[in-house]
Amino acid sequence: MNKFILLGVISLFLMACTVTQQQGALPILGMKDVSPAGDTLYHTVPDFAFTDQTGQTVSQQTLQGKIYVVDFFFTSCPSICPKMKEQMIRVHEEFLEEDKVILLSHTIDPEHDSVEVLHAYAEALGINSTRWRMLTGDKDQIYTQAEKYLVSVGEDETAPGGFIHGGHFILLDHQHRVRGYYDGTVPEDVDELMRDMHRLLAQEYTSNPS
Amino acid sequence: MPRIFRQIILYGWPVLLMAGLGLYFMTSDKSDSAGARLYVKHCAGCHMDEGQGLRKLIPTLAQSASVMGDGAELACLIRKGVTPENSRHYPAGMPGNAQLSAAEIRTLINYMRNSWGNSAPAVDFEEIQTSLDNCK
Repeated sequence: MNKFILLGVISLFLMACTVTQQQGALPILGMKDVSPAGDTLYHTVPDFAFTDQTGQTVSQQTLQGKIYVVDFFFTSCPSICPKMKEQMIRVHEEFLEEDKVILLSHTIDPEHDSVEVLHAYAEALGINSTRWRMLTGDKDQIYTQAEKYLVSVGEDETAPGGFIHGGHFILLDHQHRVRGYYDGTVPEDVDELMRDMHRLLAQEYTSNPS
Repeated sequence: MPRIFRQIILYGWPVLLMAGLGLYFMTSDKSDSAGARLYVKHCAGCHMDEGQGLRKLIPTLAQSASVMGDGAELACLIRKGVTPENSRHYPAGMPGNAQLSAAEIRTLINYMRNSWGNSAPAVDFEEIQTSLDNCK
């Protein structure tokens, strides 16, 4: 009988741990500053204007009140991009019915990846073009924007396909603050991303939509 | 303890051990083969670890007519790739692999022809070499 009590206590303890872990807020990443009034100012990603696979302009206006996941890739990429896209498809399908989530995949080879090329790519993946935007635009602006998401991309003739980029998925909240980095080629990391997205939606969107 | 349990414990372990060892050697032999190593290095990034491809973007290699069909044609496909313009079904095309030797391409082909449920006769070196010398 004692054994059962002990088991009960242990499982209660474990449940309590899990619950606390779920309730903890996601960290806010990036350099912080303090306002003259003494408030903490968090790093926020500035506005942008790129074009998606259907020819529509996407800016932070499009993202109003939504959380979003960002990555960088190019359609002729022979190294890690297909694996990243395989994982992003999982995220896409998990949140297909959730209109508070948007996915943004930026090309880092906009000279090749025109709207038409991105459209064909998106069609081949069979994705919903409202939920998952593949973005092209001015190359310098895309590269500068990548830095604002705190990742680095670049051209490199020696790299496979001619460009270098990390395989990160970056999670942002509706205030354009970076909330997490995940390796977009590792399924377990993407599991964590999806858990964090559910947390963010449950904890912050309902209490503080903007 | 009932007799049957004692028997399972006595005789069960060797059976399990043999099965485990057998499985270990079968799988380790496969993943350590030269063909598997070439595949992981040059192909798996796009065609994925089990040759499954990605939707309508990257073709699956399992049960693929191109993989199990004409070896000479496949050798040129691997060496030269396919431009997006010449790729009928897959918009991104495929990059070529100029760095792979004829011997490596042959190893790769023979690996793919007998992986992921595929079954096709091996190609020989002369056939591949001749084909690669005459790719369009």
